[in-house]
Amino acid sequence: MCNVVSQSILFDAPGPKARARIRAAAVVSVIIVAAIVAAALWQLGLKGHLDPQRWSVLFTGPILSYLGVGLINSLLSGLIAGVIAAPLAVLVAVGRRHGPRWLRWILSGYVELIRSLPLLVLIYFFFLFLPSVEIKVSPLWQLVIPLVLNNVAMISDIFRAGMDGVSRGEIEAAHSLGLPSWRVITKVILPQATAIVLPALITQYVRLFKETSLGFVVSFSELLTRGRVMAEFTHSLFETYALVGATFVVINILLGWIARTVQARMSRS
Amino acid sequence: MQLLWDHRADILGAFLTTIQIMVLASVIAAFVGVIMAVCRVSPVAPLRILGTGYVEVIRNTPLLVLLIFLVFALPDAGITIPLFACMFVGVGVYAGTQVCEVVRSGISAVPSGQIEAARALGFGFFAIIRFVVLPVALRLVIQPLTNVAINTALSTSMAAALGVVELTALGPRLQEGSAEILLTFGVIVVGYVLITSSLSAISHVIERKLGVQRG
Repeated sequence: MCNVVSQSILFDAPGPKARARIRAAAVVSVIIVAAIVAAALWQLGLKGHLDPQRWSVLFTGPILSYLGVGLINSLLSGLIAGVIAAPLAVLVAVGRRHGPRWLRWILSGYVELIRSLPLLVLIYFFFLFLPSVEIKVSPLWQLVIPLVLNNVAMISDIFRAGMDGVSRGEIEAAHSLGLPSWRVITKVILPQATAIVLPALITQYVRLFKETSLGFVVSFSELLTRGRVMAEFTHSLFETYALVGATFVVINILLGWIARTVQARMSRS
Repeated sequence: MQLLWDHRADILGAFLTTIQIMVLASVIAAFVGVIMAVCRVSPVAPLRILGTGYVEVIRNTPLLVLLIFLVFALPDAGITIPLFACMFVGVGVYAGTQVCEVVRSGISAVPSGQIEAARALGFGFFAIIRFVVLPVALRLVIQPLTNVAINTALSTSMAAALGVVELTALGPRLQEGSAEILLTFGVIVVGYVLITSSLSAISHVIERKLGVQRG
C-alpha cells in the first residue's frame, strides 16, 4: 500500500487489544459494505439486470464494434487536441516568462480567463457562434477547438511550473557560455522542464481524455454519444452506461499507472 | 442588449441555480472527501480499500458519464432521483475524490512530531485524527482546497448538458444572431469570473486567519 508511511505514524504498532479492535472494525465495515452491495444487487435483480441475457446482448459483434468505433473516436479526438495543444502551450509558457510586457499581459489574460471558465461554455460558444457567422465546422472540430483552447491554458501552467524547476545555475552557465537567449530556452530550459512535467502532463491527458466525453453535446460520434444511441436502441440503459463508464475507468487507470511508472523511473535515475 | 434585459429574471435565476448546485455539491464533497481521506489512512484494511476504490473509480469516470448514469441508468434500475438532486449529488461525489486526495496530502504533511506528541499523551487513532491531524491538515491545504472549490463551481456547468437551466445553459437558450450570442456569453463569462474570484477572495481571508505559516 502506498500510504504505509503516513499510516505507521498515525498509530502505534497495535497491541493485542488494538488488534482486536481493528479486526472488529474491519468485520463491521465489511458487513456494512457487503450489505450495501447486496441491497444494490437485489435492486438490480428486481429489475432483471442480473439476467446474463441482458448483458450478453451488448457483447455481440455489431454492438461492440459500434461502441469500439466510438472509443476510437474518443481517443482520436483527445490525441488530436493533445498534439495540437502541447506545442502551443510551450509557446504560451515561454511567452509568459520571456516575452515582452504586452505579450505577457495578453497571455496571462488568456490563461486566467480560460481557467475561470467551464469547458462546456467554450464548447457551446463555438457550437452556437460559428454557425451564426456562417462558418461550418465538423462535429470533431467543434469538440477539438474548445479542447485545444482549454488545454493550452492548463498545459502552459504545467510547463511554467516545470521551467521554474530548472536549476538557476545551469541557465546562468549557459548564458555565460555566450548562448543566445532562445537557445538557452530551447537547449537548456525546455528539455529539462519537459522531463520534470511529464507525470503532470500525463495526468492532464487523462483529464483531456475524460473531457472528450463532452463530444456528447455537439453530437460528435464518440464513446458516450454512441453509448446513448446504443442504450436507446437496446433498451438496456443501465448495462450500456455501465459498460461505457467502465471503459473510461479502465483506460484512465492504465494511463495513471503509466504516469506512476514514468515518475518512478525518473526519480530513480 | 434588449434581449438580455428582457431575460434579466431568467439570467439571475440561472446564476442562482449555479450557486445552489455549487454549494450543495461542495457540502457533499467536503463530507465524503474528509471521511474517505480518514478511511484511506485508517488502520482498518477494508476501509482503506473502500477509500481507494471510491477515488480510483469516480476520479477516472468523466463527470458527464457519471451524471448521465444517475439521470438515465439508475431509473432503469428502479432508483429515480430528482434531476436537480442528481446534479449536486453527482458533482459532489465527483469533487469528493479531489477533496479526499487533497486532505490526504495534508494529513501526510502534518509534522510527525505533533502526532508523536499526541501518541505519547495517550491519544487513540480517532482522537489524533479529530484533535491533532485534521485541524492542522485542513489548514495546510486551504489553497489546494480553494482550487477544488473553483473546479467544483466550473463542474456544475455539466448540468446544462442534461437540461438544467443554469448559467451555462443560458448560452443555448438565448441565441438570436451573432451579436446576441456574444452578449450572452459575455454575461456567462462575467457570472463565472464573479464566482471564481469570490471563491479566491474568500480563501485569501481564510488563509490569513487560519493558514499555517510554513517555515
